[in-house]
Amino acid sequence: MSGDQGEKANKQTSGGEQVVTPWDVQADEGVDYDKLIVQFGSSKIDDDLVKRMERVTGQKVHHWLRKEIFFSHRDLGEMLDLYEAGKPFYLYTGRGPSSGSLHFGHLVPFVFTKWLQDAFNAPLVIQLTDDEKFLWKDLTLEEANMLAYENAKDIIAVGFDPKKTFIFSDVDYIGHMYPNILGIQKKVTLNQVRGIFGMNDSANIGQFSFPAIQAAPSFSSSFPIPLRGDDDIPCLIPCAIDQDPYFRMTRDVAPKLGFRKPALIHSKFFPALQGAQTKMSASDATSSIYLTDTAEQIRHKIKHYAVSGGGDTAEEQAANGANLEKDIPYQWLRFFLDDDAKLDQVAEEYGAGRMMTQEVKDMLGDVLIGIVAKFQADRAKVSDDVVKEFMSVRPLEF
Amino acid sequence: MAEGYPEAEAKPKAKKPRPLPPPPPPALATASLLVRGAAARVLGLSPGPCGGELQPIWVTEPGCSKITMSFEGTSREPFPKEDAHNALLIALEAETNRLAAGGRIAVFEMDKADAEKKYGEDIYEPKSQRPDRLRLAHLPGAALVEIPNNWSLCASTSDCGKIEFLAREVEAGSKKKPDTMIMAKKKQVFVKFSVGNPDAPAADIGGEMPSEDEAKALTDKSVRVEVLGVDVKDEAKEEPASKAAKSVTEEVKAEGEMVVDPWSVKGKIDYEKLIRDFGSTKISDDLLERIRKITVGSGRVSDLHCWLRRNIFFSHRELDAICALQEKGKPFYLYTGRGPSSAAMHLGHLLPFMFTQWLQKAFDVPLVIQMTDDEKFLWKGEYDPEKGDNLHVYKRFTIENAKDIIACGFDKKKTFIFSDLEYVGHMYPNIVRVWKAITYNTARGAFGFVGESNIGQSAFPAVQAVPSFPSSFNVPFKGDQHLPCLIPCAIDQDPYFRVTRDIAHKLVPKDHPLKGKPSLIHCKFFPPLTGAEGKMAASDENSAIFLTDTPEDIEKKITKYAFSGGRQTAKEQREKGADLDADVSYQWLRFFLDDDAELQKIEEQYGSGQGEDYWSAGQVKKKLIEVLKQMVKKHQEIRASITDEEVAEWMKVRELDF
Repeated sequence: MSGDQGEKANKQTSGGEQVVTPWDVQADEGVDYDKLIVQFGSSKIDDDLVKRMERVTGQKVHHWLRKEIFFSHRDLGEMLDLYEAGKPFYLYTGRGPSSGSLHFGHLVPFVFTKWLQDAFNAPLVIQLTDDEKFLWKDLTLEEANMLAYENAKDIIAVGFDPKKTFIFSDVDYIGHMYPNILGIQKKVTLNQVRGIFGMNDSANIGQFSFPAIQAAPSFSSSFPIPLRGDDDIPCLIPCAIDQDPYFRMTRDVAPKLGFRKPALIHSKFFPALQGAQTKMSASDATSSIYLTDTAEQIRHKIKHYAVSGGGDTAEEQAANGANLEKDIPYQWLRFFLDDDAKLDQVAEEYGAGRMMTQEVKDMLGDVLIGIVAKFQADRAKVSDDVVKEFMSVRPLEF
Repeated sequence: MAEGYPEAEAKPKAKKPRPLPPPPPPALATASLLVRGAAARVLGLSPGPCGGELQPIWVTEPGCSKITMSFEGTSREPFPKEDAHNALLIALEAETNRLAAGGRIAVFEMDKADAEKKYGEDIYEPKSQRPDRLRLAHLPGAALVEIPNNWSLCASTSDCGKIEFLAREVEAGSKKKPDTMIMAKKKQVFVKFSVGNPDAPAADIGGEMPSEDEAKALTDKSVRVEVLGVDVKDEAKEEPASKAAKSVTEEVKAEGEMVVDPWSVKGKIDYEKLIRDFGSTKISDDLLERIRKITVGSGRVSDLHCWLRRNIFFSHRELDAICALQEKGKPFYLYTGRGPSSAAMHLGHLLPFMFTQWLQKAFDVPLVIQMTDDEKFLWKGEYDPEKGDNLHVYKRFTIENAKDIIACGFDKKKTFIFSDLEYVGHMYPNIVRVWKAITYNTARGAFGFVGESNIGQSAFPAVQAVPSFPSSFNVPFKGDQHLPCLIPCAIDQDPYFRVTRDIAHKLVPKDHPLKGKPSLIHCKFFPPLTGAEGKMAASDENSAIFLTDTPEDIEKKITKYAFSGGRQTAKEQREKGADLDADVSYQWLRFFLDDDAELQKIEEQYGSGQGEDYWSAGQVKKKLIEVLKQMVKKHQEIRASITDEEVAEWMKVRELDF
């Protein structure tokens, strides 16, 4: 699973059409998400579905659902039907280990997955694709495997329930999934992989076979011990919309193996600090804010790099107000400020020019610093023993 | 430092497309594409990616140019040594002129996307700018490649006249390099050439676009020209060069279509040619003597195995290095395997295990046996909507086959049998390493995958490769990372391990005695009952003696189906004797009759039709029946005593004793 999921930026295209694939996102004027739903053939998460989730879980939905940040799905309705009929589902997400620490873009799918886990009392499996990183990047397998364990600490710090969460490294766990991997591999041709994932002929043969390894956790029989031998538990995958093609392949293959198709719930892209039009780079420390950044670094990055939609001068801002669509501090607040009333107020005041860019940036700084402080405190508590517990092959409680 | 160039500093990205170099005269441009097409066929390349940078020698030497091509990714592996380069260049020149008879040239333009979709990316040379609108040239039989927009070609491939390669040699003592040469280190071929008709006119754009299939045939990277002195024995060195090149397709037809790869063996097998094609080494008498000293000399066995004495194991890779280590008292391990495609194993399946058992005993070494249940599922597995897939069936076959294997008499303390399905987790780190080291292109070339192959099939070679590396067996080998590996296998399995050997250094510590390369010892094919061509298949009941056959089955099959090289009538047999090469009963006795004197007697009497005991087919069949009945009976008795629990002990991940 791409480590950059949840944060893809847009490149200018000359043709005017938008291209969204797991390895490339191109769109002229920002991604047209409604068009994407049509293009991908997924379904919009509408008010009825949101209301239904609230009814089923007996609680308000996560604000990202209300704000349509998680906006599209496949078979989520059926998942709720089954849930109501007493058939629980499990959640599957993942991360490609990397040397960098988590940034806010990484946090989005995990925070949302945690909410799903709590709301639906669902078991969760988290795949750390150390094998993938080794196959694609210039690092040793030992390094990739070690990073998986390091990254697990970050993930655990998001607050998952140890009784319900199984985190695994592919290198360590592959033997358990191998029968399903073989079944999937058998149903997918080299041509299909080339078509879906854009592999060329100089790609290595591991890259060609990897899609099966990413697909296997979508089927509960890959977890005979954690899911306690129930090979018919439906799977729900929260992911950024650009990851959809991976799981479309999985969904195509599922009936050929006698398995249920995994359901999906898609998020929009998390914009880079420099704006939705710039290419996000994990190696460019200025395009992201890390959960290891100090308060000074956070304020500095927001001040210097966050693209503003406000007027160039105080006068202009007062006269015309801010372009909220373009304004990264406001867009980031939509993600991380959980107070709807306060956010509405910012939109109102800032959009009308009664609030200055600096005030919004300060507000974002406060919010992020608060999140980072809590995260760092939580992460400090994650010992090697805790990691071991999350990563040991054991029956989950659900 | 960049002060003088503020513009360049400020706008590094505003790159203007570089102007194209002046175009070559049409005759030279045409000839250069023919050279590329020929190079592709002779050296196992694709005419696009091999490139074809031209030097504008025509400015000072009209009618001449020099082309530089890359043979990166050649399917000639290993690439012939320097002493063969001249033969390659001779063949290349001959093939270039042969291709010049190809016919009408088509030059047409196409949108990049359409062209790539239709013809793939092999149309490009490595330095191509890949503009949105491409100009493509098709020279029938030779090449379909993108050409610069300012190039023109002749109307027909023959218009440029005879193409001659120039300056192949330099004067003795000169430090200059020849203009026409192969540079193995840089993987480049340089050809300075002249054309007979340098002023041939340019033709207008036009002509017919080739079909996808035509284009595909041109980018097939196999070696399509056999080179005299490299691929075939040079029996007539004085033959003119133009006869040196011979199309492989014609040759194959003439030879009865010998095909040997891990999935099929067809035609009459020429083992000498296989050794040449595969680049392995014949097992020499000297090597046999060394093996004898190590094994018989230790007293562990009384004689060399008859399959070594009779050249049934006939070829190897680095077996001499294994011997050298043994002579210093250093250990190695054996690796063999089986694809459990059915519960019924036949004699042909047992051969490698019988020989491996001898090797284990003779060298007193540990052994790992891989059961590729995953492979069999990927190639033959089925899915039933009611019952699901049949992966479990192959698991069962693994257990059943393991019983037959164990019955061969291995040393339990030194033998680890494993199923891929069960053991893959232990090998996965090495599998991923091998995956990373093998490109799709390499796998396709070595194993013949096509786009419709499933991704498990293309991933599988790594699973079969990793048992060659000791770190795949950390528990059985107690963490020894330096143990070299010897693989006994039928010669058709060699392509798998050639790729393994190529990447082996990435999987072991630097001071591994063989740099990680597994050593190999190859056997000939065991002929099916019905005739000596090809190898035995489990699918045809009558072509094989199964390990479950009753004495009556054996008698009936041999009597009825064993292909006979004997004559039609007793009179004729007495006069002419039998054709021993074609006679399956005799061939099988070579495998299973350990008594050299007896075998020689059969050979003499049956081959000549003279003598008393073995002059006729009936007598020889009778002997074979007797030998097989005894062998199969003994096998069945041992196998009957092997329980599932016993199998589990052999398959337990445990430390081996060595």
